[in-house]
Amino acid sequence: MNKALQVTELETEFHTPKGVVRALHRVSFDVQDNEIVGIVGESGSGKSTVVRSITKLLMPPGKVSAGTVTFAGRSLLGLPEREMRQIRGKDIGFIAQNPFSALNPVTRIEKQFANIAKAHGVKVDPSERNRALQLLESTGVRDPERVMRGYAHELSGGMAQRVVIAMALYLNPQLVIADEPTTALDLTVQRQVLDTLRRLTVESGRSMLIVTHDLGVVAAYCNRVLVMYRGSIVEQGLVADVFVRPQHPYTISLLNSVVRPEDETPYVPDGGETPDAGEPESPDPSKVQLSEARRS
Amino acid sequence: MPLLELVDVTKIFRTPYGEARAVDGITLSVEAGETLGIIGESGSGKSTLGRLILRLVEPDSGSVVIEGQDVLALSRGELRKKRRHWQIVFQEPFASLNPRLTIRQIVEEPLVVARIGTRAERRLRVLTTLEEVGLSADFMDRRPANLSGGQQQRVGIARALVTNPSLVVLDEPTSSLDLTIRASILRTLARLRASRRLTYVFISHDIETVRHFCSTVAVMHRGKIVEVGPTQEVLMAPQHPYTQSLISAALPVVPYAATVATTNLQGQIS
Amino acid sequence: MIRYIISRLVIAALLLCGLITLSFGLVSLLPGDPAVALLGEYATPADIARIHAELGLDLPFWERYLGYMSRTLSGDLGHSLFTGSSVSGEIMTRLPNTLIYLIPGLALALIIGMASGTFAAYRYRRFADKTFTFWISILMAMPEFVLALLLLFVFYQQLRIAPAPIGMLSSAQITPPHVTGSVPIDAIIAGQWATFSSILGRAVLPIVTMGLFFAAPFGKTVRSGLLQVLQSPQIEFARACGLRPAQVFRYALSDIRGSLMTYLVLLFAASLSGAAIVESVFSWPGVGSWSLDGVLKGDVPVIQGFVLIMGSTSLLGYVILDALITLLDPRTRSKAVAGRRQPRERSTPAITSANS
Repeated sequence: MNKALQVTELETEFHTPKGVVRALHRVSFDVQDNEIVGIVGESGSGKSTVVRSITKLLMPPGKVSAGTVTFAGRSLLGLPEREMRQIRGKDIGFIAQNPFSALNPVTRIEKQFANIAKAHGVKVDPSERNRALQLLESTGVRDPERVMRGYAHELSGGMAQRVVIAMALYLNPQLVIADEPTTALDLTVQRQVLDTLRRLTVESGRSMLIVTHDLGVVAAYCNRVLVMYRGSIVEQGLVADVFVRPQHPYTISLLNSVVRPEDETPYVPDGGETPDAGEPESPDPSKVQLSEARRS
Repeated sequence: MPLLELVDVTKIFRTPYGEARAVDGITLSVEAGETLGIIGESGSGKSTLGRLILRLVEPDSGSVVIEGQDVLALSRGELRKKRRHWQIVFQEPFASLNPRLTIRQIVEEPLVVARIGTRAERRLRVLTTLEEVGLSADFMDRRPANLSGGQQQRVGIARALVTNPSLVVLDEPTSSLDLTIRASILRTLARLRASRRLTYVFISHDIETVRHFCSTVAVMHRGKIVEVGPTQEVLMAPQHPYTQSLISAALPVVPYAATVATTNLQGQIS
Repeated sequence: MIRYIISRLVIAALLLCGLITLSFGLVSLLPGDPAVALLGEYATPADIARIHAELGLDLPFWERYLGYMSRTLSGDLGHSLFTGSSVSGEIMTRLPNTLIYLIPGLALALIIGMASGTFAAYRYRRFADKTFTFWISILMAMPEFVLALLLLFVFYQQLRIAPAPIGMLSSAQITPPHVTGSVPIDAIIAGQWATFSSILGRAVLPIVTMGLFFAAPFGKTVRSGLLQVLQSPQIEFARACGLRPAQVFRYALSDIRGSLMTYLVLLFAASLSGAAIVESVFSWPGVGSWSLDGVLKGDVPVIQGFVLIMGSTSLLGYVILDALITLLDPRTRSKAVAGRRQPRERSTPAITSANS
C-alpha cells in the first residue's frame, strides 16, 4: 500500500503576546491509500490544528515550527502559497464542519462550483457543469438542477453538507480531509452523510482523514484512529485494537466516559492540573505510568 | 399522584411566514424520583417543552400540574415564589451565567429572590451546595470566565439546587461539554438525584446519555411525542418508525468498547 | 417585489412628515424671538407685534403647524428673514455647488478607504498595517477645518499649486448667463468649459479634504470588517477549495457588503453637516456656508430649510440603501419578494430523505 499522506514530527506554535504556546507536539502519522483515518480528541486537543497545519490554512499567530508533511511524494511545508493553492481543492479536498458557514451565502451554488474550476484552470463549460450535477446526484442531493441554480440558505443541513462534499470532490482529489463533517447535523442525517462520504472516498480509491470528537463515528467508519490529547498523539492504531485494548490511560478514560459514564473517574494528567474540578482524586497507577512515560 | 403532569400542552410560534407548532398536544406524567428523558433532534420542540413545564414560555393551550399545583393558574407573584421548587439547568453554561458576578453571587441569587435565610445562612448554603456539586470553597470569589466549561456547568447546577427544588429540568446540560467531562457531570447529577430524591426532566439528543441516565424516555418528533416508556424497552424494542430510525442512525462505540469496560478496566484495577 | 417597494415608500413618506414636524418644532426650541433677532434689541412692542403678524406667529399652534406642513409639502420653504430671498430657491442654486465637491469627495474616501483598509487587513499586524493604523488615528483626531487649513497651507501657501480659497470663481472669470441660477450648471449650458474646469480645479482641495477626512473612518471599518471575515469558516473553506486570492477577496467582500454600504450612507449624512465648515474655509457658495450663516444670525426659515434638505437627503439615502441591501442578498430577497405568501418548507430532517 502507498502512503497518501505522511506527517512526521510536526510541531505547531502560536505566538501570542503572552508568549509562545505549543499547540502540536511531535505529531507523526500517515494515511494510506484507500483508508479512512480518524483523529479523535476533545476541544483544545489540537486535532483541528493538525488539519490546518497540513493544508497550510493556519492563520497567524499560528505557525508550523518543525516537522515534515509529505503528500503524493511532495513536501508541502516548503511549498510557496501559489503552489499550495493548486493542491488545495484539486489534490486535497476539504469538508468543513458547518455547511452554512462554509458556503458563500450570496453566490449561487453553480457559480461556486465554477469558481473552483476556474481557480484550477479548468475551463468552465456545459460538460463541467454536468459533471458537478452528476456529483451532486451521487452525493444524494435531491433535484440537483434546482440546487445548482439556488443558494445555500434554501437547503436543509444535510443537503447543504452534501453540496460541500460535492465541492470537495469536484476536482477528484486523492485525499479528503473532513473536519467534524457531521457535528452540525442531526443524528438521522449524520449516518447518511457519512455513508455517502465513505462510498465516494475509499470505495472510489481515495483516502480520507476525519477529525471528530465522536467515538461512534470512528468506530463505525475508520480503519485507524489517532487519539489526541493536549497537542500530542497519545495513541494510534487500528480501531479494532485501540478501542478493544486501549493502552493509554486517556484513551481508556475517553472510552469509559461513553460506555460507563456513571462509574468513570476522569483522566488526570501529570502536573496536577485537573481538567475538571470536583472529582475525588484517587491514587491511580495509570497516572504514575503516564508521568514516567512523559519523562522518558 | 405524579409529581408532574402535562395534559394536551400546545405551543404555536407565529412568524411572519406562518405558524410553527413547536409543541403539539403533549400529554405526559412523571412520578416523583423518576428521571424522564426527552429525546429528539433539533427543531423537534424538546427545548420548548422544557420551558413550557416551568412556564418560562406560556403555552397556547393545555395544563401543567406540578405537585398538585396548576402552574398556569398561578399569578406572576405566586409563580415567582413557587419557582424555587422547580428549577432549570441550561445547555450553554457560560451564556446562562452573568459574567460580572462572582460564583457566590450567582449561586446566592435564587435565595435572595426567594427571600430565604439571613446573609450568613445563605452564605453557608451556597458553600455546602457548591461542595455538593463538586466545587470547593476556593471557587466562591471567582468569576465564570475563569472557570472551565465543566466547572461552569457545575455552577449552573448549584444555582438550580440551592433552593432545594423537587423538580429540575435539565436542558442538554452536557451537550456542549467534552466526553470525559460530560461523564463526570452526569455522575454528579446521578449522585444528587439519589441524595436529594430529585425528579429530573432530562432533555437530550444523545441516545447513549439517555440510556445511562434516564428511567423513562419520551421520543419527540415535530412537536409530538411519538413513543414513551421505560428506557430499556423503548431503546431495545422501539415501536414507532421514527424511534427506530433514530436508534439505527446512532453510531454506538459499544461493539468495541463493551469489551473495554470488562477486560481492560479490570486489568487496570487488579 | 412591488409590494415591498411600496411598503418602503410609505415608511419614507411617514418619516418625511416626522421630519417636517421636527423642523417646525425647531422654531420653538431655538432661543430668542425671530422678531427680536430681526429688529434688534431696541425694537418697540408695536414693531414686534407687526413682525409677529407678518410671520404668522400670532396664529394658534395648530393653524401654524398645518400651514407650515402644507406649504413645505408644496415646496415653499419660506423666505430668509434677512435677505428676503426664497429658501427653496437658494437651496436649488446652492445644492449643486455642494454636491460638485461632496460626491467626488465621498468617492475618493471610498477608494482610499477600501484600498488602505483592505491592504491593512491583509497585512494584519505587519508594518503596513501598523502604519495604516497610525495614520488613521491621526486623521481621526483631526477636525475637518484643521485638515482643510493644513492642505491650504501646503498646496496654496507653500507649493502654490492650488488656487486661493475664494470660492468657485475668480473675479477674472465671467459669470455664465443666468438660466438655472446654479453657476456650474449654467456654465455647462452656456458651453463655457473654461469656467467649468476652473470650478472643478477650485473644487480639488475641498474634494481632497472630504476624501481624506472620511477615508479614515471608512478605512477603519473596512479593515475591521475584513479582519473578521478573513478568519471565518466561509473564507477558510474558499481557501481550502484552492480559490485564487482575488476570488477569496470577492467572497469576503460580499460578506461585508451590507455593513460597508450602511456605513457609507452614514458618512454621507455626516458629510452634509460637515459641509458647513469646509465651505466656510474655502468660501464655497454651497448650502453649508449659507446655513451656517443662517444659524449664526438666527434666520429661522434658513435653518429649517437646511434641516429639511439634510434630513430628506439622508432619508432618501437610507431608503435606497435598505432596499439595495434587501434585494442584493438572496436570503432577504426571497422573503421580501415572496411576502407573506407561505412558510418556507422547514428543513426538518426527513426520515425518507435520499439514501442512495
